[in-house]
Amino acid sequence: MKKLCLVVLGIAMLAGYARASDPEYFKVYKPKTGMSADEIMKIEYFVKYTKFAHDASFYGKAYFIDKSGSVRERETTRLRITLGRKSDDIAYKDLVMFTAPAQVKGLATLTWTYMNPKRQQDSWLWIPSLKKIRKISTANADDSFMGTDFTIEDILTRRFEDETYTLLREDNFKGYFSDFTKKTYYQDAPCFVIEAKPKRSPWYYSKRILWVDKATGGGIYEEMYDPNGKLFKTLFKKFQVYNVNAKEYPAQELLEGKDVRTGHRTVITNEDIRFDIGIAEDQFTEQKLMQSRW
Amino acid sequence: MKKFVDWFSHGLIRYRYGFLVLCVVISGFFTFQVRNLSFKTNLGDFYPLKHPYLKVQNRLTEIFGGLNQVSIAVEVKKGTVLNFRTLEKVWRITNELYLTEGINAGRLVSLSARKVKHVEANAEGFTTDWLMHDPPKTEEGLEELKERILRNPLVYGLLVSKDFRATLIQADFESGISSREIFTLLEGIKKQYEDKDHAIYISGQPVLQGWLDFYLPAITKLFILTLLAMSWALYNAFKSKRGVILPLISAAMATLWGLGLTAFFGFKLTPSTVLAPFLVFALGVSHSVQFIKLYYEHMSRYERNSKTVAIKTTRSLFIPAFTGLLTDGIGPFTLFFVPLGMVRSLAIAIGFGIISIFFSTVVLVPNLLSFMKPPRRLEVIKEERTTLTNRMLGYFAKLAIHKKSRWVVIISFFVLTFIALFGMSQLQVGDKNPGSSLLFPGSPYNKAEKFISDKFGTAEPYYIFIEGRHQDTFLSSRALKEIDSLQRYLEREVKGVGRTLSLVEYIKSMNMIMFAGDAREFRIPDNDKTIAEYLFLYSLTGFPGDFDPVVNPNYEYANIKVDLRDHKADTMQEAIQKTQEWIARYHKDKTIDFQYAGGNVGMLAATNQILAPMLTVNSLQTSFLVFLCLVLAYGSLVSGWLLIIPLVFRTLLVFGILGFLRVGLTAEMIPMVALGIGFGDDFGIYIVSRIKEILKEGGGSLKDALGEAMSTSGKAVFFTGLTLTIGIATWMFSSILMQVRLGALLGFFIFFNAIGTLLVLPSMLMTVKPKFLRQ
Repeated sequence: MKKLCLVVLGIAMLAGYARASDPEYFKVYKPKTGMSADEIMKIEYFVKYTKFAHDASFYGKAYFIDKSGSVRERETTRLRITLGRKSDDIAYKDLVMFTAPAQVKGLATLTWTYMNPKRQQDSWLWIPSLKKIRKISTANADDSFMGTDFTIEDILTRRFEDETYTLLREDNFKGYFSDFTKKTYYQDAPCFVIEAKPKRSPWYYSKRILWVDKATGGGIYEEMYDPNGKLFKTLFKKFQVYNVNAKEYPAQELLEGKDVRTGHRTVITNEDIRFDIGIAEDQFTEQKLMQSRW
Repeated sequence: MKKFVDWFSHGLIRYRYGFLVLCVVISGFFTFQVRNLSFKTNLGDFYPLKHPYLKVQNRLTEIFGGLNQVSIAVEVKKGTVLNFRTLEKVWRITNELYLTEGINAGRLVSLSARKVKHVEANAEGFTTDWLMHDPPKTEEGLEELKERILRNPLVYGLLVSKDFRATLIQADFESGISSREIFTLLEGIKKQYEDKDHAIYISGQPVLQGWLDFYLPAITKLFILTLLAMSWALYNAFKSKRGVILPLISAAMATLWGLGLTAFFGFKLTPSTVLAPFLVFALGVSHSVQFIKLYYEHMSRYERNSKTVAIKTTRSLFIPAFTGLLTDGIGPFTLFFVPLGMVRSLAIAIGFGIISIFFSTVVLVPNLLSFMKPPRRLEVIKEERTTLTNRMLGYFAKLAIHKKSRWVVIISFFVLTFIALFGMSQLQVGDKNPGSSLLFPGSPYNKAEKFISDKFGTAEPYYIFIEGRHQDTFLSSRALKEIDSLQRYLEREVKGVGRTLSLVEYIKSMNMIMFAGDAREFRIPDNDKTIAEYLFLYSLTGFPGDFDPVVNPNYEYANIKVDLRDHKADTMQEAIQKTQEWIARYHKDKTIDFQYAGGNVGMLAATNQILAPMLTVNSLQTSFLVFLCLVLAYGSLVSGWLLIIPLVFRTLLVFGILGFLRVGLTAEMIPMVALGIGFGDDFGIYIVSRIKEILKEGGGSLKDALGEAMSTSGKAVFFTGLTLTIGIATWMFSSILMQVRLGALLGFFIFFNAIGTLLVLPSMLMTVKPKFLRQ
């Protein structure tokens, strides 16, 4: 009986601890030596989805580079408002507006993401030439994110709850050379090396090996392995720390995804990044979408 | 010339040890070369690669891939494919393919492929989902999947057969992956997933190539059969050991050298070059037969000394052998100019062989004979004994001697030839059977192809390549409307056209989806910007490279896929002609350019197009060169006409027979005619030369000379014809239909030529009584 009580107490404490350790919206966290893999990963997700900031706006360029070196480009302006609102379950709202190529300038999508991890996102598409809004379904997690080498979940939907984590070691990152910028990043940066395995099985990947930067909590580099245990994709993210209201916000400035099998690469650069500029929530409505001011 | 021949024949025997060692050393060198020779099928060999259609096909492959496309069909033996086990199999095979090295993941199509989507449109918007992300686990799931399939025109009938008994998986591999690897992988999948309830069929170019590579080495076994048949024919001719062994050794050396040269110049053993050794072997045997026949004749008439007889035989036969080989070389020589790899490489390999035969016959045979003891008298008598062949040849000679009967022979021959002209009009270009014409209709490959074509209506793809003037050309409503117009025109005007598919169908579908699934909106939008937005949205839904192979990523190149119901020459010609007609009448948009004809149909049509004129040109070239050789050899125009006219008529007769038998005119006919004419004229030359020699030596009447020539040289002709036919006819036991067809045709043609010469030539000579015989 005594033993049972101890176990129950232990579980209760653990549960309490886990809840207590969930990062809170609008704060800045950094991983520390001694943290568990789960704790480090919670911070990593927090940073990935910019939950530290109330809002953000940036101008993104995507480059699609195939094996032969031929490049296609597209450009977007993006707005995000983070709400973390329990009352209507809304976590954040995104507005993506395409500004290039010229023929499609004005196309835009609006997406609402919810706090409940099981609840599907809501998305709307604005087609300027038809002057129509169409409600669209969210793609599957393993579909491509907007025609890039990244999957939807790589960028948008993967959550802490989807995987189990093991801290493999603490190590200095060997550095990443970008063919695009011709620069090497994060050479000898102290990192946590974490193995993440999807709970869903079979799934298109069997594990990810992730390097989490100790300085920012950002997942700077990951290798994805297929169900046969073969490396099939690498992802790199370069974070830049912005000082906003005396807080340090790590923002993704450069993303590079490489399909090892096809040799295709996607490079996304984010410029003119601005945080907490007071974007109003009413920007993220169907009516505003229709105004297509960009 | 006579001096040279004398000098050569004496020198050959004087330094016989040296020559023998030389032969052994060179053979050793070529044995070493042959070790590097490997089997390799190159499907490009079967098509005229420089034809404009093939150039269009090359551009299509370069831009849209699809060279290594394969189809895998899963058939259930009972019930429908809509059951947990079958769908699980399809899902597993699809996943396995996604994980395969070198797969073009963006082109994988199956019920569970990521790019095969289920779209539902309503007033508010639309939802897209994979058609089958995971195999269903419940009955409701199966029912829902069935609904999704039935409602999707790109899936029902195309990916799932209309009777739900089979489903298709299509994959495409990078060009760096060898057909052997693909074939092995697919055979592995077939083995793993086939069971008592499921059959799996695989087809596609790499699979066809895999099967050809699989069958190819088996032809070496046929060589043993050839060897046995040839030994039997030789034994019948000479009734002695040396009469069998010597020609075989000589022919073996020629074959080895021929193969060695083929390997030395970097050629591989393909379905066509692998035939050359057979032909070279048979030719080698037939030429040494002439030497041994004369050796026996000399042995019976002159002193019985091996060295002397060897010198005499060489002296008598050097020039006939040389000219014989020269005319043999005419066939391969003219074939070299035929723009088909298959024909050209066969010509090269035979050419190497013919050069080698010269050495094996003129050098090796007399050399070996000089080392042998003179044959016993009995052996010589046996060889000269009257046999069935002699009686038959005697009968042929008799027919020629009597005035009435020789006219019957000549008139029958002419009448038959004219009937044959009618038969020829029945000849149809091209192959009519479904599946690959390289293999038998009953072969596993063609069965698979037939199954897939029957169940999924894939039939014969015909591609029209559309080139834009600049990037984003196909974002224009005007350009798309022209493409649409061509598609509808072909569907309406050509009976053999099934379905057509291009970017237009995608744009129309997207437009319909945007307008809540209203069927009236299945049309091309008038606003270019809308088209750009649709295509952009479409590009957002897939991974890079997931684009459907209908337009390239910068919208500069597009294509139309037209499904033809069969590959009959008429159907293909009509489709191409109507395309041409539409372009001439309706093509107005200067920003786009239509080019035809790609796909399997283009390749076959190109082959058909060059076939008929090439066959005529090549036959005329060969006949002309043979005629020239004859005129030069006999110094008389009459001699040329006398030998060439029957040869031309015999050729027409063979085509007449093929026409009556409804055999399609295929690429194999070109080497058949060229080699048939080239080898076929030898027969007449031997007989005419012999008559000339007899008349020169002893005078006498033409009648007697003819009788003697028929029993000596006529007999040699008969055996030469027989050995050649046997060497070629064994190809009929191959599993590769193209080899079987060539074996049957050429074997028949050569034998027909030999018998035709023996039957008709004497009657013609007796009728014309040409002067050159006594000059």
